[in-house]
Amino acid sequence: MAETTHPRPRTHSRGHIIALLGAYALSGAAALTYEVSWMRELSSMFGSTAYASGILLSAFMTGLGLGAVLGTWLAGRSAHPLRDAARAELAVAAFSVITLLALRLLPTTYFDLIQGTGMSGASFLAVQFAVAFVVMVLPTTAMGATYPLVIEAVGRRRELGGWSGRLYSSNTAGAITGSLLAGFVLIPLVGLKGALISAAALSSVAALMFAALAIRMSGAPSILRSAEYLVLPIALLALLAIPTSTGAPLGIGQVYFYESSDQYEHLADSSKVLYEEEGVYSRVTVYEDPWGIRTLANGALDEGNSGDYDKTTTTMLALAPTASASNTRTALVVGLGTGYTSLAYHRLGFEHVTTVEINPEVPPAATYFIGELPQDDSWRVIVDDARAHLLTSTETYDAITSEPSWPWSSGVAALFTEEFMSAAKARLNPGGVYCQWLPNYLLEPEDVDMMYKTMRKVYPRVDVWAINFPEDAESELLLIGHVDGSGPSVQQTAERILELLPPFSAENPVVTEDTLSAYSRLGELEEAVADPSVPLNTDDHSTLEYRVFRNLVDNVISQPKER
Amino acid sequence: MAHNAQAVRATPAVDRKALRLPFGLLLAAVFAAGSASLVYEVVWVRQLGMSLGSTAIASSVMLSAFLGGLAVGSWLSGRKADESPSPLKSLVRIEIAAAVIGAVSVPVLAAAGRAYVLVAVTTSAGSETSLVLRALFSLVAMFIPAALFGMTFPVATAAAARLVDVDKAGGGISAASSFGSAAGAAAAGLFLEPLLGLTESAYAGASLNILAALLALAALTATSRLSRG
Repeated sequence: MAETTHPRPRTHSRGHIIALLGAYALSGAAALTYEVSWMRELSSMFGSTAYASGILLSAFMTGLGLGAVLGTWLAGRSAHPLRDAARAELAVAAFSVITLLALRLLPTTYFDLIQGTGMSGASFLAVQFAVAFVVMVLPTTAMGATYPLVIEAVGRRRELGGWSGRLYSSNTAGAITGSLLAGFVLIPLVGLKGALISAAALSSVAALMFAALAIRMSGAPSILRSAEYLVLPIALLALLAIPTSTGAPLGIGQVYFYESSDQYEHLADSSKVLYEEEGVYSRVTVYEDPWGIRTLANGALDEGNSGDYDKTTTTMLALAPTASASNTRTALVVGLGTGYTSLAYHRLGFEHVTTVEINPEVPPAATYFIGELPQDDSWRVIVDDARAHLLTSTETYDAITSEPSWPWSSGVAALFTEEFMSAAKARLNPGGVYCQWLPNYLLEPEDVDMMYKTMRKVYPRVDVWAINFPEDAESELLLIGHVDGSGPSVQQTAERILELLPPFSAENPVVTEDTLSAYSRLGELEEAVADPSVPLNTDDHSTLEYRVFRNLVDNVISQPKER
Repeated sequence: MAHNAQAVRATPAVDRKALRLPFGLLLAAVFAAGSASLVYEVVWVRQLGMSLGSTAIASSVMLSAFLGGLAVGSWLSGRKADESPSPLKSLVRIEIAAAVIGAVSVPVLAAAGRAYVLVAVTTSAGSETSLVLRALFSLVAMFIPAALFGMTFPVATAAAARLVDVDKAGGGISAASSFGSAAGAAAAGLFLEPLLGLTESAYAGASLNILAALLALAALTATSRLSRG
């Protein structure tokens, strides 16, 4: 590396150029395979928030930038930059072992690091950036070093723009291929570790191609030292040796429920995994704890369980709109989850229940909660984005329930906006109702004001029902929007709720006559509608998404646990 | 003015240290342009996802359309950048065009989304046809502007090659672009979207493009002065 630069042949055959661009495309494919795999794991820990996406992408790009600085320094001193580019690619493969190890060991440390520290939202995000940066810095720096070395090897001053264009586009073409390959083929088929091994293999092939081209194009005396060749098999063996994680990942979804990582891991160890599938979105898991409670985990988010409390909420999400609608023939449920809401609609006598679920791994997981799904036309599960389905479908319904995942998730946030509520309204029959679930335990009163005002902008009448648990009044809210002025009054709805309760209360002690009640702040909500300082939750300003996450950090994660 | 950069390089009297200023300004321009590009990427994928959906396939199609545009723009502009009498002037033009496109991008993407919905409803598209339609609308909506952004990298590299050595030109532009992208991703996720929303985030992106244009113009002016002096 200390050798001084000597003249290198600067004319290249067409074959060499194609091979060089191919090697750099492989490097890009490997980089995106790593990126997709790492970000999937880190997103589980951090939550799939817009904040986390920005942090992860930023940490990755910062590593590439540092690598570019390092590569520039090396390029100015290297006799054979392509040989050093080969070394950089081997370093990527080697460092990916450290990153995988960190991803295996980090969740418990991270969990305990963020629990009960009293840290502010900004400090919390700074910790997330630091964790992501430390995990990815070594391999991303090596990735970033490749470009300056390659362009130094081939570029002449008067053709540098052309070379940078060719290299950039071939690398980007490889990156597109790598992202599709990782997301749709490798991770679903061979899991995260398999994807990382594939990426390491791609890096190694790119390294060998650069090394061979170093001899052909710049007259390097030898390829690599013998010891350097050992990096590849050692890295692959190390990747193979790192144990595969199973069960629900430990992440932000568990922070709400457990006091420490030890408590969660003790429970996870004593639980039985009934279903586990690595899909294009996440790993979907169903596990059963020692008390027989089954939990559905989507990535590191608990999406529902078979406990009486969760069953109460999911049942009320069908019962309240049923009692509020003029007709009860057709229903649409946004988000299958455990399937209890769709099942409740079925049990309440709806002739056609349609459920839209974005994650194809969830419907088979739901059978562990509600049994085999009915195989007739009274029951249909569509795997699609609910919003795209509502916008492009022409079917109409008497009741629509929206109970997607947590509103802090960036993909889910679009199911809480004014525009989504309007899309749902367009699919309602006369006398139909739209039911919006809100996790009141994560909201401040001003957040509820905002959501009520948003609903009232779309629906002429909005009823607000609170779900009460024995020691937790108004824990969750159901906002029922009426498509028109028809339908039962609030008093009539309350009476119908009591009529519909008995079969559910007979099998669930948490379901009582006090479970649903009119929300206590109705008067304040109406004032909020007229208050111009209360914002709307829209596609353009998805305020709820950010407020809920801030509330989660300030009111839950950073608070000492006393549950 | 057209051959100022070459003139600077060809004139032994010009102190190489004096070229640090225009090179520094160029790096700052690339940093700003890289930031803008990531702001747009984040905002556009989100905006188009409102209509096309957030399924894994739809998201990948949108991202691929954006990256594909960058790749094609980069490929096409590279050679021309070398032949350009003044890559810095080309860079100024590219950034101004990017600012205009960025500023109007959110309403245009919203309209593209509505057009997709209209076509999908009218044709009662099944899932496979729907996927083709989503890919088509993503390409139309994102490919051309992304191709424009893709031109920045080779044009800036060609400009840098007329100011400094090859290693510093290639690596410097790459580093500035990566650090700019890192800043843009962080800004979009942590500040712009939460505080300003999508439309105004795109305006922020356009402002970064204008800043990049001004910095490139300043670099151009500095090299002109050097060649005159």
